[in-house]
Amino acid sequence: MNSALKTPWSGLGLALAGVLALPIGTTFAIDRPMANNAMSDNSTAQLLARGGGGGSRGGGRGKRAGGNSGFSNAGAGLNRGSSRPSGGWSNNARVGAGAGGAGGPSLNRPAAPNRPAAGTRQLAGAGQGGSQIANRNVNRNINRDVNRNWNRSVNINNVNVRPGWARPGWGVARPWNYGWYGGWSTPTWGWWGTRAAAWGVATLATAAIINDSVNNAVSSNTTYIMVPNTNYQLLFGTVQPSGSNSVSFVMQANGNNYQLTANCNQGTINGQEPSNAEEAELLNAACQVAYGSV
Amino acid sequence: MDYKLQPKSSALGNLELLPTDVGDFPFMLNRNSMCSRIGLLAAAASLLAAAPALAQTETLYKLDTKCSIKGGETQACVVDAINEGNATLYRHRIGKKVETIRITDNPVRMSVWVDSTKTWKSLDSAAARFSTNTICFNGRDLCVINPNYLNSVKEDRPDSTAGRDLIKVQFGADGRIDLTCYDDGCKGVGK
Repeated sequence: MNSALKTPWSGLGLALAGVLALPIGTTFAIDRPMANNAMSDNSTAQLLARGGGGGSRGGGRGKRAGGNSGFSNAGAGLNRGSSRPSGGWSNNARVGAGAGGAGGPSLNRPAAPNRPAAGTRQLAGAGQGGSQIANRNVNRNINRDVNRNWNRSVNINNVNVRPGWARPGWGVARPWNYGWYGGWSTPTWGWWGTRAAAWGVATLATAAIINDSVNNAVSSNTTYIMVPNTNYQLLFGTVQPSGSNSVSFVMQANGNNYQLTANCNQGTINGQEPSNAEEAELLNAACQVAYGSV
Repeated sequence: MDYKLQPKSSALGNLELLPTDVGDFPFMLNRNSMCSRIGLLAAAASLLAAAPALAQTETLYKLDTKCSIKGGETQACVVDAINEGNATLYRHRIGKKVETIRITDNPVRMSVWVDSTKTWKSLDSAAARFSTNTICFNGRDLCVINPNYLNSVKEDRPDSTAGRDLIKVQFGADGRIDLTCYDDGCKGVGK
């Protein structure tokens, strides 16, 4: 190798090897300043956002200027859309009449989601529709104990609470088969009648109430909904199907995070029948978010 | 419409396979043969750079959904999303009609395949509304319900899409984005 470096040809060889090894991005970096509309694409905006340039505070000496330029989000709002989102790709966009699809493609703002139908169970202290905000202020007289068998060893920082589907239009955006879940009666939970009577409840929160809570949370950029008639917060973005009729999710209560599973067909939570009405509400809410109709 | 994907040169991709360290070239130790071998190497590099190659393709998904053309009635359609080289192709099959949109990143460009001229034509605009899971190209020329696309955009751009529902982009004559607007900021844009 040493002899090669001493020859007059070594320079050419090195230069050629250098060209071959030239990173692709180098070409782009050279091209970019020549392009028009420098502010309009994401990459250029990011360059600006990094604080480069020869400002009076010392850009251009290889140092990164501190502070924010304000342009870090000035890039394109759309992109290729080729990154696989959480939950994967859907093969069937079932467009219904509910939120997120009024029968066909449209850029018009959809009508406000329907309020819960008459005859549904009202939340204590909450107005018609049981909005999430109203729910937060409810003075609940509920059992604040959480099932001691539930898993609290979840690191919420490792959980994606904002998957791509948890957004406006979430009902249609869920990338799995949905729409079949109809509460304790569809399919029927075998334990419902006896236990519900013992708990003194006739119904659980309706699909409309839960959907409305999710819609409100999405509108206010909130990652959780209050589970009706409980002290539980369901991180609805963590809802993930497991198999064809089970679901996993993270719930918060008393400042703790709980990683739970539920079988929406059998009506079990962490493999057990709910031990009280609050657990049944949580089970119902998670199953509605995962598999309910909108 | 030709269903076959367009061949695409990927010379830079080939170059990535070549050695990048001069220590990988032991022939450089011999001065007499070095010139000719460098010449061969240069020729090989030229060939590699010039030779058209079929870009690698990968089907992301096939989506049964609804489309509309030029604001017309909603029709059943099938979207095939295919990665081809540095672009993603969205092939919309609506009955016997096929509309293919090509989207690239960095910078974002969108174009439509014009079968009569066998060329890609830059779009003038695109718009998406999350709440209806709809994306439209060139005004209302082609609209489609594609939650997959919007889920991906949402996760790729969490900050710029947070709290947003409507997004519009307009492209300049050079095919790059001239304008991006959101929600109320889009009032009057593109009309």
